[in-house]
Amino acid sequence: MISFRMRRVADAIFAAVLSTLAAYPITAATQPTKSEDGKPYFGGVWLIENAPRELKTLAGKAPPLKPEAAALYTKRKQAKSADDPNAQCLPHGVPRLLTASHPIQILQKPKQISVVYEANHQSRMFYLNEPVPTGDDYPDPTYLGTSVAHWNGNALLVDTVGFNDRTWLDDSGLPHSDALQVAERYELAGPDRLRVTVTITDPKTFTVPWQTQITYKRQPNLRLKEDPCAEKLWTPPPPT
Amino acid sequence: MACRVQGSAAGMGVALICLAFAGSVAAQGAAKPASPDADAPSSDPHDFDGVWFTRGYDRKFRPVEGGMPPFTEKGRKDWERNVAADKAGMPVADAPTACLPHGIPRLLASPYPIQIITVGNQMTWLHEVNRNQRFIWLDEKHPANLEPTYLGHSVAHWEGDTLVIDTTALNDKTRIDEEGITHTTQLHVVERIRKINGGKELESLITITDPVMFTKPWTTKRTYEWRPDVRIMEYACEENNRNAPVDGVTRAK
Repeated sequence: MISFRMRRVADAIFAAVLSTLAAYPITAATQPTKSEDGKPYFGGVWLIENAPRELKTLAGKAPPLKPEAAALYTKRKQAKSADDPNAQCLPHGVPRLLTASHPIQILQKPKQISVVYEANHQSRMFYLNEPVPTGDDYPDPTYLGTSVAHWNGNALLVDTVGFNDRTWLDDSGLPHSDALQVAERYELAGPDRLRVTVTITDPKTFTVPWQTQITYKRQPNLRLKEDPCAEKLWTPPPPT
Repeated sequence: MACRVQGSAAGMGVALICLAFAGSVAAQGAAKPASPDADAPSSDPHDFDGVWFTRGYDRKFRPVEGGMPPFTEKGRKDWERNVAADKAGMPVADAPTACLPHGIPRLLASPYPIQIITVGNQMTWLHEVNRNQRFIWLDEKHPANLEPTYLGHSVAHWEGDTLVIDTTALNDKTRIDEEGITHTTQLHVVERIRKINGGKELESLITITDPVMFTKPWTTKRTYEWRPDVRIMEYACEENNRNAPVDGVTRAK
């Protein structure tokens, strides 16, 4: 038999729980596992497997650099990345951003697939079923370029153009020019594994287009955090 | 350098913001006409997805009923110091000057577009300005023992057709507004957002509580326009940041 007093306490707790539930109806984990349009679903949080410092071709070889680009690459390596643009918290460029060790989140919708990168709070938007910009529509150069995408069977093909030449292709300083064009092929390699095959075309830097591959593992229990990169560059004013 | 200008009245203020706080913005890539089926906003009052743009621009937050915020002595002193520093041409540097996230609620006044994307119970706000990323968790509670961050932790729930966003765990490195109202880590922000004008606008009533800076909670307001013709552009604050703070003062180089 519980006493009257205990009963009152129990009622009070029950009422408190009820009022909380009214304000915040707790629903089951409400992240989708399927796309809205029947396409393969890449949505969710992912983490890179084996983040590479130096990109290699699919055959594991060094990328086919032209002589001047090779000289620049050697110089950067000798300088031990002293002029790394990422040290200034600039956007990573592509494909370097794909190699970041921070988690990413893909927000998949039928007309736009957005990738939110935790690293230095960057994001990319892939606009579906639009032509790759050319001629008068060619975008002004940016760090992350301008991307369009389309589905080919179970693969999402992303084309990115309009890059500036201020980024590195990887952490080791692999160079590129403003003629860079990047094609990415996203496909599931198992239920919780995402494989991205990247084709890099830059006739000013490489003798031929070449490919590399990056894989990610799904992270159902991970959420993106704030990554205020510029904090390391700033001394706040003294408190008053 | 790309500066967004919205409306002639706001033009001066926006241009000033670009100079004073944007560093340099390398972009203009993604401007594209809206898709033809995007000529009407969603009729679902709970569907906020799309691109939204502050209507008008005001660098100050003021109470909806007019007058000044209900400052404590400390809050008024801080605000007066920041306003005086601005007038003297020696603005006190704050986080966005150094390309750091703007903080809540200051981010909500920014004259740059925002894309809202909802997936499951997660609402993501991608702000063009300095690439601020905000995640809002529907029907969840704040976890205990949160570390303070620039944008804090946000949970939300629906009260009818009004989305009520509750944000806490904010650090004290940002300001309430661009003009210079300050806050502490005791800041608590509640946004009450609903669609108005046939879904073409979002109205947000923002209630600010910080017992160190204000004697009582106060509420300010912002309105955002639905802009299917706008896409989020790249924003590279860190590039050629001509206004980087030196010894705590924002100096134009």
